[in-house]
Amino acid sequence: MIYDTNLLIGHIRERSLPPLQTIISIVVVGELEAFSLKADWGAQKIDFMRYLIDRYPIGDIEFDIIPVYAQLDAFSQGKLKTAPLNYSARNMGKNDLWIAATALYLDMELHTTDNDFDRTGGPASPNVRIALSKALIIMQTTLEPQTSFEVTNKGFYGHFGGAFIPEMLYPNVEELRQNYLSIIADPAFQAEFWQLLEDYVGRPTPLFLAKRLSAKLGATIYLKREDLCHTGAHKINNTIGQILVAQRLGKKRIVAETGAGQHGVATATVCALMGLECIVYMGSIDMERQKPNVDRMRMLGATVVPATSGSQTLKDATNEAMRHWINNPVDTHYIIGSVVGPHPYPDMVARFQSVISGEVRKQLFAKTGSSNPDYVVACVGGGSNAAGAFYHYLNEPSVRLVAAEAAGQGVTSGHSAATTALGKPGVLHGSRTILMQTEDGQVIEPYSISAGLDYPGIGPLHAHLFESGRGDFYAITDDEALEAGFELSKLEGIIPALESAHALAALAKMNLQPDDVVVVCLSGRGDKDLSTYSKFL
Amino acid sequence: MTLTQNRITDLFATKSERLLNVYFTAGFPYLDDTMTVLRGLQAAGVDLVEIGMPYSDPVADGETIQHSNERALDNGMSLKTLFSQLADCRSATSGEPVTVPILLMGYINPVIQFGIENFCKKCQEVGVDGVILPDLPLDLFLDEYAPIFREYGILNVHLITPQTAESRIRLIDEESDGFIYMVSSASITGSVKGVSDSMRTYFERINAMNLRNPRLIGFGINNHETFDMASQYANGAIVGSAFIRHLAEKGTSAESIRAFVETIRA
Repeated sequence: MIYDTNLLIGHIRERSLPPLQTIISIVVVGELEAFSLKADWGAQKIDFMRYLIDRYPIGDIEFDIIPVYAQLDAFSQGKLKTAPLNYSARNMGKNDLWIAATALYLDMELHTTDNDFDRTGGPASPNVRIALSKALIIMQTTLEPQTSFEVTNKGFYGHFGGAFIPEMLYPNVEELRQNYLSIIADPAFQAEFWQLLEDYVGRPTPLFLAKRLSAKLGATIYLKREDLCHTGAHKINNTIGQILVAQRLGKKRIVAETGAGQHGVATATVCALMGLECIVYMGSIDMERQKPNVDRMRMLGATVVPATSGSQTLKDATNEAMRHWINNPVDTHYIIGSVVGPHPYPDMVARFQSVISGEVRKQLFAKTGSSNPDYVVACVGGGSNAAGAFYHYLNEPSVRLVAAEAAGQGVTSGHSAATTALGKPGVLHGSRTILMQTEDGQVIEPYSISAGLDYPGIGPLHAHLFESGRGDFYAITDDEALEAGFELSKLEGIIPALESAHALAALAKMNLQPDDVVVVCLSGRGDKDLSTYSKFL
Repeated sequence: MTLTQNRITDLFATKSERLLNVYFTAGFPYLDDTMTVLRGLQAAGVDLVEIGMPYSDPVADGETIQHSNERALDNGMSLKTLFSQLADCRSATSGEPVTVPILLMGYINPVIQFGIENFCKKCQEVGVDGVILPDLPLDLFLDEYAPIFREYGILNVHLITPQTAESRIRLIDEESDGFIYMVSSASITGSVKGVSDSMRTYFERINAMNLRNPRLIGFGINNHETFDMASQYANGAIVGSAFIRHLAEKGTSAESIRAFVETIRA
């Protein structure tokens, strides 16, 4: 929460501290210092004030806050065209607007006793608080405890999740489980994580209004441009987070699995950045299919080990990476690339990817005056970009969450990866989820034209979204995805990854209405898929 | 918990040294080899037999056992088939009755699809005494499955490793019956050769804990020397990958199996 100046003055007078999760806006710091001068506070009181300020994270005015501030200012004066004020306008203190904008930007409650803020409005009290209350309603809905979609202590989302791991992996996974939340919450971690996302990954990624696509589909379509991230896909959001976790756990070596090679490249990249040894397991069939990514990983200094067991694709690479971890339990961290695996991986990866929907909320608010679209659409293999795109909307029932799975050559063709259409509950790679399996419980090898969706399960969060009806799941065939990929290229000048093309192809099946606002997570760029696309030119 | 009647607990009540438990994969090398190998092991005098329920993704196992799993699945092995193969093994109607304690070892997903209760019931019917399910975590077992296992008199054998914390070993000891499966090193099956000093330190550390359950050491036990060494520190040992390799190379005849067991026991 954000505490306003007057509340903090109360605390300083009482020599008491606000709650631990408080953030102090830089504007409030300025107001406090100014107040202490004007009120001629004694040395002790000033010492306590500075002690208090030092103790809490400071909410700086970042560049991204500016559009939020601008909207609030215009709205408070009844001059925002997209959201007219129903009451007579008034001028509000600019400092107060900055503080409110900071709270909005950080998705935090604003605590204040200021009358300017406090009157919640009505015809008789025309007040900027109306804007704030509207904003606060948005914020508070995200602040409510995520009772139904947040992971439990034991790692479950509804019936799905948990940590079904052999005892050999227990100490590693338990070490991670006990530490990941406190590591992530540490301000020094946060500072490093956000700095790298900004300076190295290139975040925030744009939210782009795709006008020609919108016109064609008859709805407003925004593209969240994860394809513009360093290494060409959202995968690096997670590997940046996990390498920082691995460093803080004192690990010297990173092991990872990869299917198409995107996660492998993102892992090799952060290992090069941090100077850690990197071993990537990749199915030997995938290594042939995705040679450029194998070369990229090797150029980045990683050792790429072919997984020669089983079907020699992603699931076998995952098995091999788990085995490597079993054999090297002390000094190695396993960077799982999706929201799959034993708890806490699905939750940890979702948290790192949640930057996607965190940005979407702010960007959409700046563009439309509302943080909430009608639909968020993303492709699901294991489901990490979808988890990130859905994350801040999980408890917003007005936002429909749409997942596009790979139907391959058709759901009933026998060559498919449409997990929710074909799968049953079971245990795969350490968690209870929905997976494609035989009647005897043997895992079925999936098929998709898109290597990133070629996985026999989905993350436990997605299994829960499916079972609870919170998400709509569409099965998209290879042909539909290809068509959508070519369409976006021609309409918007963006060549999407084949995975992302599945999300785009879902749009045509959604019965969109003219006033619908849709955000599509464009998870990756299509360069890696050119050899596939070029067969259909 | 204490079970009144179980071949595994009975065995450990009468014998506590140099016990040999041999693993083989059901339906390997050929679908109908399950009973042949089981009878061969009994005739060769092993103390316990661990029958692998093949699975497509056996993450705790190395190459040898994974290949035997793939082969068995290709042969058409399933839990249903395994139970039908074992159906009469304890009775005298089809040859010499099998009296050796039997454990089933495998992964949780096929068992879940079969149905946990149905699985335990079948185990009881055909005379399986215990199971080893490496990816069924202890807390989930205790929360959800333990009462069903108890109802049908099926032991669930838990693993400990060099990294398992002492408090957790105590918990596992408390919740175990039959024996504790000591994984010799941080490894998957079939991947270690020889015995290191750090292993000895680990074995001595566990010895000093005076656990109430007997212990068998597995992973990396592949010849007479390693079996001897394991038997110094525990009640015996488990041999798996080495036997699978032997079956693949030397066949499933009673003589071949006897020869293998003799080289281990020597």
